[in-house]
Amino acid sequence: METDRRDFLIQGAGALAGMALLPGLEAMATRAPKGYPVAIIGMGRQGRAIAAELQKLGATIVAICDSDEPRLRSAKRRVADATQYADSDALLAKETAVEAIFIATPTHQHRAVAEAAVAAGKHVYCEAPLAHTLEDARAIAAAARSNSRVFQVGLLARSNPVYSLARSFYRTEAFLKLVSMRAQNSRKTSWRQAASTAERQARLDWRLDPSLSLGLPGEWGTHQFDVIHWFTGQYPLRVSGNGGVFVWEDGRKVADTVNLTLEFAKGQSLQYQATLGNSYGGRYEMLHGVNSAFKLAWSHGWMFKEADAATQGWEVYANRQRFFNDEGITLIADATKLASQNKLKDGVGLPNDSLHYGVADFLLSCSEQVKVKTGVSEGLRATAVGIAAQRAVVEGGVIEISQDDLKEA
Amino acid sequence: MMHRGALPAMGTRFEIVVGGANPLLLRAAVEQAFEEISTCHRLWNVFSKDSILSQIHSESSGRPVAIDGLTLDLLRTCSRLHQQTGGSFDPVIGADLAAGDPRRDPILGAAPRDGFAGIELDVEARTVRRLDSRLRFDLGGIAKGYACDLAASILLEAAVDCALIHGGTSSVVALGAPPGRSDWSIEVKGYEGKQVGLVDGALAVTSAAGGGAGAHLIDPFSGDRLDRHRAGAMVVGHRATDCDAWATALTVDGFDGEVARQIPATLQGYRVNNGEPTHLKPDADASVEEERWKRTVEIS
Repeated sequence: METDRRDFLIQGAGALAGMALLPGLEAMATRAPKGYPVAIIGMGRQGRAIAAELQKLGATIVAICDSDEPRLRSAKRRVADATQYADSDALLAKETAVEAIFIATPTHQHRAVAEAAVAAGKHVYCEAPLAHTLEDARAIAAAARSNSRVFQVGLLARSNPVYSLARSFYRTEAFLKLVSMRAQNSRKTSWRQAASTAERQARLDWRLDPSLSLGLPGEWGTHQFDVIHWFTGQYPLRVSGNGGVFVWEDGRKVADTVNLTLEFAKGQSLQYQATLGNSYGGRYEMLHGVNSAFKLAWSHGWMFKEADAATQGWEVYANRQRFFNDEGITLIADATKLASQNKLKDGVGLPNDSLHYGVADFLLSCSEQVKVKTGVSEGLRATAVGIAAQRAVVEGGVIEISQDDLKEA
Repeated sequence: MMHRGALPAMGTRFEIVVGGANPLLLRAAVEQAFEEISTCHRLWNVFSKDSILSQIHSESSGRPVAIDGLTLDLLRTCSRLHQQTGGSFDPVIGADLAAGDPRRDPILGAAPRDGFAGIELDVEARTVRRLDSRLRFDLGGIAKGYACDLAASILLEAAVDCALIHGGTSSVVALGAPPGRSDWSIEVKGYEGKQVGLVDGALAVTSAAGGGAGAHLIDPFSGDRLDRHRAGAMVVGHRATDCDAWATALTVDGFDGEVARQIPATLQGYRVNNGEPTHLKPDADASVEEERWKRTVEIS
């Protein structure tokens, strides 16, 4: 599935021009509408993180909702003036002034909440993956298409200024031609939640329930696979992999470590590894091209030039970091402006979490009709790939991904 | 069964020891508590450009900066404690003070005094504005205690009622008591009673000596760094946040001053080091003794 050529207006332009086309970080923050009325459904870790970014952007969190009473209670410290609901239908019925809904519930609950929010005429931001089944993901896509309100999926690379900058280079001679791809997500964490009762424990530990969870490929991989989809304009044809419970031998069935190979139409593949057993290296994606390689680590990004790649001039002024035998050119959003102020080093690393930019983009789409960065189609396709990848781990062997799997209906 | 975990955050080491029957749940609870401490670290780490404090400090045109709910909650608490302690606890200093002695700088001049008075906290709009761009937040006198309290609330939410949490050994929260013991026994160097028994309580210790070569506390009224031989303070109470701030205020103001008279009835303040400079060791003074901490945990 090739990306529309209109998206590639910057292809062929000089690298510095690519930088200039990026929105300024400061401008993005100040353009977000102040006081925009929103509500959050699901106040676990992600819901709390969304709340913090909304507050920093000056939005008004009118209401929050979680069916888990202790979570709702502890959210009070962060969102003191929001009305609290235990039931999302009640929130949607009563909070008529709310313009937009953020859905941060467990993945398998997205469908019911998303359909209700769309039916209530709200703009919707839904966390990724969209759903734990293709059927639910398609139902969400169909609901999103049923009205003209904004529907954004929480795949954050497409809103990330460092990734936008890297993608502009990807389209130029600076990268030239894709050779191979690799990505990983390593975190040492049990994925368990602690609770006072067995019932609450089971409810909170949905990631460890094989009937509800998309495991590491779905819950983490979906976000990183979408980076590859967005850069290359392609979706994989097949995925193979393996995994197991190598670390947390506590009776769980959902793999704590997975290795995947995603194959693409032009022969290249993405090697993906995720684990809950070790944190070395954290989360990043690497794209190797003929002239350079990119390492993208969400808040930071680097370009590693090949010795025989043509010099473009601007590298002389670039900020660099050493990685053993390699030297990376730091990818800096707003680089042109910062360079002119002799403040290039100040631009190393984003001043906000990736989530900040995704939430800011969504608010702009809602209030100013700016085109949605990550729509429901992208969300559905990424989810379909995540589902296939989880199947590869659970079933073993090769899982074919047909074009039909990536379609909305 | 006891489970123990550690996390580097806020320039120090946090540790949590929890007791209970289910090791899986104990570990999960500690992970969740550490997530909250990590959130505090990310928000208030002035050395990281994506922290909210760095964003406040980088706003140089005097505009208000929107802040998240947790930071608002902490700054509201700071405001209350700043007022209660008559300004002896002040989480805001001049930028030049952070870098060195301002009175030696002919251009910048003296640092603004009573820094928190130069902060406009708009609770309704959820914004912070610095009236003087030289002002810098320094939450070292309260953030560890706040993070420990937050971690304790997460443990309680997960029905863990036997735990000891500390941040850098100077801010401590105890939930319940270890199995078979009546309390968590904490030994404090420089405190003449030596041991403090904590059950569902908190303590904080502040020393003018700090951990480095020089004194690290600043008198907010004079802008002077405190004499590193000055007596430190330990405060015992219900919340580590309050204990932290009052321990700082007592160390700044001394035990004969107004702060000692104004300390709330829910808190108990103690002098540490007894004012005896011979007891002072820069790397260990006025902190919960590390070895004793380990021994207590192992026995428990």
